[in-house]
Amino acid sequence: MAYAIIIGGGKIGYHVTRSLINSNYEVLLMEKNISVYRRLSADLGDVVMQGDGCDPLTLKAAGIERADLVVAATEDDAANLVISQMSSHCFGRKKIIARVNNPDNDLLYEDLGIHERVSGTAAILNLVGQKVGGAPVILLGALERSNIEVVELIVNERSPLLGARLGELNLPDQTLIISVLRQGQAMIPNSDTVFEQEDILVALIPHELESLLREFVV
Amino acid sequence: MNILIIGCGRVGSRLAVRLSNSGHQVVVIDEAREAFLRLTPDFPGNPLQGSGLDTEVLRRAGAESMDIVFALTGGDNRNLMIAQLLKKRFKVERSVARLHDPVRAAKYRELGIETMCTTTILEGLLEIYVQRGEFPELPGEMSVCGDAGALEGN
Repeated sequence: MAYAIIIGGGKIGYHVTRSLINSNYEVLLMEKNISVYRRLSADLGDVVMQGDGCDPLTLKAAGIERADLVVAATEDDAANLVISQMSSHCFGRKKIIARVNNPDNDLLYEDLGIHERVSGTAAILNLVGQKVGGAPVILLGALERSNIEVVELIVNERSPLLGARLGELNLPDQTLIISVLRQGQAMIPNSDTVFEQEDILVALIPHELESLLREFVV
Repeated sequence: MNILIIGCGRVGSRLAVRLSNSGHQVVVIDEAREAFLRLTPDFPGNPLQGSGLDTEVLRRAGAESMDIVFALTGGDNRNLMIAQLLKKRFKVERSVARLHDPVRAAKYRELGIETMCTTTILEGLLEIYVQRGEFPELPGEMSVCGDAGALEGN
């Protein structure tokens, strides 16, 4: 049975714990705050441990050396960074997922070697962006282990894409339009495809070029 | 030298005053404006309100031209994150994090982050006290038993 340690018993830590228990993981949820710990342990029982997951001695006592998965899910980005770095450098753990609370910290985590991250704030911002609409380029998601993003572009009446032939477009380098949704039908475009109003294009683009694409279509 | 101090608590404020009085260019950052009350009224350095984890605040503080940064906030994790942020983003070579936890301090030193641990320093001083019957003398005007100068407004 795989062993997972979740640090931080907030909403995310709590639900991740329950879902891993249901997926037959052996789970330990660590929570520092004593009153939060009591509430959690009344609900989840022995799975919950009271302690500071940033303290390497506490991590060791929790059996981190045999953990298959560590999730740093506290509401404090500095704590999640230290938990992830300690798990990796002190205890040689390979599978570590860090929660990023402030999206501004995401790139720093990446630079500091924390490759697996989840950001609730960024995900919600993105969803709100999709719902609000009107944006020329909407981020649909990022491909795992790469800097490639999947974005959506809507061809409206002011779009420079309207009436243009794909083969003639001077799109930013490395931008690939992989699909066109037209009147509810999806098609794979070729260089002769001419864009019509209300076409929805799905494109792959390196993260750093997203702003260039935005400028291009506005 | 250009020195950036993050955290204007007891240690940060005293260090800021001491270093700027000896002629260094000091910027001290704290989230709480009241923290700057710990500085002397004639403090010649530059207090800056904001978060030491905010790259915009650090940029305004002139982080990229700093010779030394001291991360002296109340939290070990925050100090470690600040020290790494300055090293990574602003290429500050000498970026020191103050820690209470000796284990984290030793492990991050292995990772190339300069750490100093208040626990092991105090432990060492107390061991010397047991051996010699007195505390060792510190350089300059510093004293193991404290300094009430601030009360007299010096």
